[in-house]
Amino acid sequence: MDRNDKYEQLSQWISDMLDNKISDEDFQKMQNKLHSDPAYMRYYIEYVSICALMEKRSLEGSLRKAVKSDAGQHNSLEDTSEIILKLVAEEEEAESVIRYDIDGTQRKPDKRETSLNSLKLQNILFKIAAIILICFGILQLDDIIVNYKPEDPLPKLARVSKHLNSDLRYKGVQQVTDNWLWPGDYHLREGYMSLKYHSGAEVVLEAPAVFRLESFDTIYLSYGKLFANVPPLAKGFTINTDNAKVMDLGTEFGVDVSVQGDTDLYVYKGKTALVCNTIDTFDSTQMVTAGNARGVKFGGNEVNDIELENSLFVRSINSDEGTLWRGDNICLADIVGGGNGFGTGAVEVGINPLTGERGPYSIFDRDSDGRYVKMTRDRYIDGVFVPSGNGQVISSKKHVFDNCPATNNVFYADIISGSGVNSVFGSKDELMILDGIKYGSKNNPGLSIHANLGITFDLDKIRADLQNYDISISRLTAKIGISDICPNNPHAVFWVLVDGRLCYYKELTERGLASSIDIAINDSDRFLTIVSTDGGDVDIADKRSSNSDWCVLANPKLELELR
Amino acid sequence: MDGQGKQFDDAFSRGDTFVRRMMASEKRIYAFILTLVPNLSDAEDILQDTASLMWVKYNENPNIDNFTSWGIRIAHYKVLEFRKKKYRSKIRFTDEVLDEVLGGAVSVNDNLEERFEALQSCLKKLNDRDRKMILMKHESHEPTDKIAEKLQMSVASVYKAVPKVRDVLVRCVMRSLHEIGIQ
Repeated sequence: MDRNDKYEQLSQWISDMLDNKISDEDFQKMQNKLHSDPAYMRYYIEYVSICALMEKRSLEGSLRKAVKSDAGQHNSLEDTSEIILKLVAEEEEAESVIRYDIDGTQRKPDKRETSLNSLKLQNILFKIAAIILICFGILQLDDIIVNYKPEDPLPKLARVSKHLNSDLRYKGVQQVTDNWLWPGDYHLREGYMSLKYHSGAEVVLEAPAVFRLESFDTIYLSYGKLFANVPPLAKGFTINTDNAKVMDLGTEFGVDVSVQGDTDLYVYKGKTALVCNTIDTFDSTQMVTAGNARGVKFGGNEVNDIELENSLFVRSINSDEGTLWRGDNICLADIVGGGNGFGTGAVEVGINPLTGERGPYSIFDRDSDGRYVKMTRDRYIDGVFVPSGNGQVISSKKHVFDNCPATNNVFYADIISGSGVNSVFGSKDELMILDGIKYGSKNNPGLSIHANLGITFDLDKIRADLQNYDISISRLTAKIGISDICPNNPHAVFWVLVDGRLCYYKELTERGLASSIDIAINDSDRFLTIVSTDGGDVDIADKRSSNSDWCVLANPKLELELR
Repeated sequence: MDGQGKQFDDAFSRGDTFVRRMMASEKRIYAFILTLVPNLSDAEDILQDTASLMWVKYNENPNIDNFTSWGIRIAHYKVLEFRKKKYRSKIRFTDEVLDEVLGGAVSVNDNLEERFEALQSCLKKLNDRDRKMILMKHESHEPTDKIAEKLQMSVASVYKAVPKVRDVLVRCVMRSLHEIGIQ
């Protein structure tokens, strides 16, 4: 059967259904097709979405009428106590209905549930706390009350979207991966697994972990590490643990529950509401925002600040290549050192801007003709150059630096990832000191780009290698300054361009002081160029214009984020 | 202005803002509903109900960060309410299929702008008669016999042609999306 035959019947059925003309029999046939073949399902969704986009309705008129007649009748938020009673009633109703077992039967509340009357109280308190958030406009009421409670015994709650070396067990039986999971208790004995919910919320679990899928927007984590990436549509997604509850308010966060029952929350983006279950007061609810972490000890009655650990959680699984992403950023100094940006490169390595060769570096004055040197053997570096003036070519696609200032066409040092103490010719001083911190090591990476130098990175190539992680480059961040070691009065200008567009420049005349760079990077940006030029001072034989222009780019990184 | 008058004015201005925000989000919310309830008439009713509930809640508290996402959640609730009412109907997805549709609907909604752009371009590629037919069907909601009359076709031909033209558009849009890396 060719493709047209395959979809012709389906198209007719969908069309009939849209117009309310489909027969019961045809509908059943269509439903079976959709269920049995993901390609049919995809076609159906595209078909209906496209019809929806073509539909023209006159909603505006009726909306305005409804709004106008209603204006002034709804004055404010309902009385808070009334809302609380509503929510409590819903909570009780929901608890009596929604419990599933893996065999599909509804089960009665188990001992743990019935004995924990306090849990209900905590839930009520949590919702009261939520009311307070609502009053401040932080949380939408509907995020709580408009919450699907399925009635069918076997709802598919989340799909295993990615996994790596995983061994997932239910009642001791190994589960097939690449599948949907039902409500129930699971044990991830080995490996890593990413679960995607209907709402778009995605959690990454790392073994060993014991968890229960509770509903379309809650998961109970008995112990283990879980990272959650919750899109706006899924706001309100909740992680329950024995002693805490974490409600997402549009964010990325990790929850680490130890075997002893301690819960640690790390928030990387957005904000969450954290409730300590063992405290029966409003004070137990805390807003925890990006860059912060909190710990709740098992049986303890307080929430403590803890140190944020950026690489504690696996945030994305690359099943194809068998690798993991823990939130690390791409280090440009590592790339200059021949690495992949994640620490595989060498230090004390330079790139000669005249040849594009990587290797041992030299430090002494050399002349250049401003030619752009393509780095043909390098994946992430497009090319290097010595900036010479207006119209300087800065990429292999002939982007130009339009207002590049004229320089003396001299460069003193290679582009160096390292401290500078290993030069084969010239100075062997520590080249990179800003704000009293030495850069150029693995732990404190830095690039020495003494004027006049330029280097262009190929962001598309970097992106291509990140594709399987579903992450994107969001920003360039770094510190820039003239190293404290420069002997005379420095005068240099530091520039950052994206596809030939000037994004940042700074004139540098003081040594040892660092300034911050933070530049947004879009998916369509291809070439990132970093340039240092001399300040255009009088150029004489024993005091070149480029003298003492020890530009340091400290901790230069491309920040990554989940798509 | 007395207190009551100011209160009315505030509410009226809030209403205006709501209508504007609703109009900006309406296509996404409607696409979401129609995917779950693929019946033009029922989807229209659910959209109206969704908009009403959104207005009531918005009037209580207009501080909505992501209006469309919020609207989709309410629409989801309204769809489930509708399904409860229609639980005896045989033209109703099982919950299992609905779950699968829901996953797809959310993902399609993420790229709706790109789909809309692709659709505009694909509509231009249709021949004149097919384009008129599909626009009469979806924009002016002409009944099939009127479309047949205006295009000088038989009713049966229009009935058969509409799904075919839609199929052409779907394939064209899917191809365009594939070219820009959207699966």
